[in-house]
Amino acid sequence: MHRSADDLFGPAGGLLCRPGAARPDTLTDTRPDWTARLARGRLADPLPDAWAGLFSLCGDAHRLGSRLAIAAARGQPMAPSGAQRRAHARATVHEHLRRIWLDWPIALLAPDGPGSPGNAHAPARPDRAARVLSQYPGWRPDSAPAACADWIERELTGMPMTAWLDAWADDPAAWLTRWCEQPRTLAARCVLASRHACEPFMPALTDACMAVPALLPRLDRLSIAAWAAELSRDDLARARAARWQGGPAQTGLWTRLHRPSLRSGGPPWLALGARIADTIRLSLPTEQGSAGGDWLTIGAQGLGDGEGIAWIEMARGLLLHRVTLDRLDESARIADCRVIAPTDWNFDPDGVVARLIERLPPGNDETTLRGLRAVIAAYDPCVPVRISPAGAHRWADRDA
Amino acid sequence: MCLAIPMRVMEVDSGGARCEARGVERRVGLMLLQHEDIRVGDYLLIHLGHAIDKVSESRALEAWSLYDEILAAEDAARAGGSGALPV
Repeated sequence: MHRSADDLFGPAGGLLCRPGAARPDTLTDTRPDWTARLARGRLADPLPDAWAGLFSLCGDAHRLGSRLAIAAARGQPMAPSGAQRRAHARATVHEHLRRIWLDWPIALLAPDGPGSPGNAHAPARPDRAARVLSQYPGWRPDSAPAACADWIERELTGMPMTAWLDAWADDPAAWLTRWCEQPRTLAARCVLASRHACEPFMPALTDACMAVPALLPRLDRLSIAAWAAELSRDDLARARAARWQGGPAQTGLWTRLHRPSLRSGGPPWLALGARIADTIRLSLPTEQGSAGGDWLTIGAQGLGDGEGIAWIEMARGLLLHRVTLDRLDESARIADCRVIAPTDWNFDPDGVVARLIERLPPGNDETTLRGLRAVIAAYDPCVPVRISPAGAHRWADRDA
Repeated sequence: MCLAIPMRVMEVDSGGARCEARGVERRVGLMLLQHEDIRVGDYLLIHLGHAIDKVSESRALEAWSLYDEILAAEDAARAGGSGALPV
């Protein structure tokens, strides 16, 4: 059948924003909840590869999460290997770099807007940004870590990356403010532009961020079992409910379980700094709980009766796969499956992004749109975002 | 969630490639795959106008098989059916 482009990219759905509207009308999620329907009745063992093909951008994370959840459901929990951890760290860096060079300039750098001082060293046009990104040595499977680190110091931080990370760890807001005021890289210009875009709406945006706690679950058996039960109950009431301790929570690069950098929230532009910090940590040699392949938390827990849950920190935050099998042998099929992605937490109708957009003034004037783009770039949804009413203004088409 | 669409390469030139999936054509940049040898018939993952990965034909076709199930369910739902996906 010949299909239109909208048909082709429609299954992902999208998010509709209404700046200034009161919750729950601030944010409408049009993503169909098809993961459970698609999984139910399938053979369990091929499911991880099917998810990898479907959730292409984060396919490896979904494959690993699904595999761990199925093994845990069979009562055979397994830990990811060192090679799997390193591959996941590498894929996460790639995703960070795509966001910084492909998304940020479009969202944040208006041709004559703040943060676009015409610095010839750093490209503002998206095609020039992509050309710089194409030179990252890490796209090649056989790349040397030292070459990747050199590129990151030259093109991302503009300085030794461990020094950048130390300053960030000491005081994220103060450091990011100092760093972006002398913007030597494209990323610094984008951070500066985001800060300017948020300024007219401060301190309201910071207040909204702080109203939603960071998603920092305890990953022991009892806590996870209680959480899974809570998610099950919510699933019955709402198609895609992400709840923790009875309410919404935010997840992202600033809520990493090993060392959350912004536990109490902060203005949206700080999230851009968290992505830079995460890129650096993942590019450093592996060190237990603090860098490289061991920075991201990955785990699984069997819950009995053929049910298992796996968690895996990825580019946008914490990803959950929960699965129930109809039997435990190799002919097992999926009785139930839930995938809860970071976008489900952050873009909940009562969640942090809805609260941020609620604080913006109604309408589509340029100042409001800049603020909205800064919010969206910070929380980085994995689906298209459009602005209501009447679709007159589109933030971006984030599909292909 | 983060869907990137596998598309088949129809033509390669110095500026990029023309790709197709289910009757929809897109012109895409190949800058992020400079280390790959891209030829007509290859399958690429496309995101924001750029090819970001080369995938096997089997992986692309499996993804499309799942997409087709989703699209069929949405067609059924629009036509007044239940929209239940076949299993």
